[in-house]
Amino acid sequence: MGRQFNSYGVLLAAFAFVLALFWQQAAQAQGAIDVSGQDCVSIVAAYEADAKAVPREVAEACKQALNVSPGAGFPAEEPVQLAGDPCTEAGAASSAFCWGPWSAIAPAAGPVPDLALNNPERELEENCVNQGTCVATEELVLPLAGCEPGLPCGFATVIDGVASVGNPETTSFARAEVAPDGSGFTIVQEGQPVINSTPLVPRYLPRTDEFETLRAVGAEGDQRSRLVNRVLRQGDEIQVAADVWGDGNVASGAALSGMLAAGTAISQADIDTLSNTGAGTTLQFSGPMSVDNATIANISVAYGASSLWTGSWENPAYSFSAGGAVRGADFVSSAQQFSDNVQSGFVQGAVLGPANDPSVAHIVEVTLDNAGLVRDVGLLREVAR
Amino acid sequence: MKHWHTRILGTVVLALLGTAAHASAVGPDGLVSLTPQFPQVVNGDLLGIDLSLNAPDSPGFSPGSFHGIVVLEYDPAVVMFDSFEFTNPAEALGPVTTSTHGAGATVEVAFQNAFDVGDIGTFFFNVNGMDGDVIDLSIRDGDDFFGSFTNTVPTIQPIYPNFQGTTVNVVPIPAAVWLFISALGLAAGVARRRR
Repeated sequence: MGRQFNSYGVLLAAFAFVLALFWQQAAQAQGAIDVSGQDCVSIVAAYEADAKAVPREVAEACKQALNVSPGAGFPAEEPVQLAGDPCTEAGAASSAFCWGPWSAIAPAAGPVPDLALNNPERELEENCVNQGTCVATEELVLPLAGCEPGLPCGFATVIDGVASVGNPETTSFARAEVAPDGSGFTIVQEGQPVINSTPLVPRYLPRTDEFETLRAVGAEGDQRSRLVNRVLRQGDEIQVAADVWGDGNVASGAALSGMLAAGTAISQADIDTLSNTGAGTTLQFSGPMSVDNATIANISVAYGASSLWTGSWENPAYSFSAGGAVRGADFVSSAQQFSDNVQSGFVQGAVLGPANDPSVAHIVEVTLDNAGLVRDVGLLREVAR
Repeated sequence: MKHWHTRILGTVVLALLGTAAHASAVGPDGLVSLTPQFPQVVNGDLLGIDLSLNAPDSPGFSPGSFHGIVVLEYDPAVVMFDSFEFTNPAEALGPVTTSTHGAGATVEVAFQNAFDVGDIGTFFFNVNGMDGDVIDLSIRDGDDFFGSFTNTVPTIQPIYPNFQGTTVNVVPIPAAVWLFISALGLAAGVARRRR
């Protein structure tokens, strides 16, 4: 009897062991879903629109990949492992351990831009919404100041001299604004204008694409300014502008110049509309970059319960992809969403209005395998919805 | 006789100097040039000088759509600006303007929609110089601070081409022309005597 019992015990133990092995492998398989290279924004959006459209495991893996992002250039923090999910329990709203779907945060990595850098201090905010689901939101940490919905918004590269395009090593970034009537522009550093152009006399020329060419020059004494931009206008007001700016002194020869992409950030009302239409709205943007117009950028921005973005940049000499979180008009890269050939860097941008004809202004600073440092700015136009 | 030797030698030297002065290379952003190089004209001619762009390797699409402003400097004592005709697809970006600066003069041409390789247009001058006069027609960017040249397709990219002018020699009416005129006169005289 005792021997028989021992045999049953051994069999039972073996069965339990085999079960445990299967369970572990299944768990590992679930955790090991590789979503790199996948369009996670579209996958998550499709899943939220129709839960049967995409396997839940894939959608969850995508959500996880998009939502958690330690800053590029900083060591990844180990996720906090909790015995249970406090966010599903009563009092979750006040729980300091409520670690919901954190939003991607990616402070700049690699060489730090010289102009207009924000203090990367994280501002935390905790909300519990949607039937007790605790969502801890984190304000985006942006390399440059963010764009307020409905207000002028833009980005620029800055180089020494008048050439507008230079070595990426000596190129920096700034915020930029173009006057709606084309009569001037400002290059902004940490909220303060570092360049206020001289009053410009704008002149608009037709083009074969959807844009007009704005040639605007101005002079005050020895000071000279110019814009040579592609622009879209609504009535007499510039909706978006992109490309060449310059400002300098003919007597001293001192000058700064660069490329820009600017407009007015999409309004909060439009963001709300895009977010609350069905399961949300995904906007697709495309266009050439301004510094190296052989680079074609494609960016997808999904407004909804999970506001996320992904993007890719294709150049004859390189390509890479990125993604991350969207807050309001702003978006920034997540270190975990870069393609493998990105050693360090960031992508920051903003959606420009109006909602029925949106654009994206963005800057890119990445160090790539076999291609080195790339710094660029681009205005992308909506291609489909 | 010595006078003629000096004049010929001077013309050769000036031509060689002009060759050196105008030997601008096609840089990464191309070359804007006047052709023909070293034309020989006579007093009373209407001189046509082509303004050409050669920038096949500049940033942006090819053939692209190039904008720019060119300033041509000349000596009004030798040639007088008459007109500028754009060569399709290039067209005017603004009015063609002339101005004088002391003894010199300039003509400014602003153009758009030019291809990366080809003629932008043709300057026409009336030659009023005398036999032996030599004039340099030099060109430069109309914006000598920022530069005015851009390829506007697909985005607007500034380019900084090199510039190459030309040297015009006013020469005597060729001997063959004198012979022809003489022959005409002789024929007219013979015809009158036969009558």
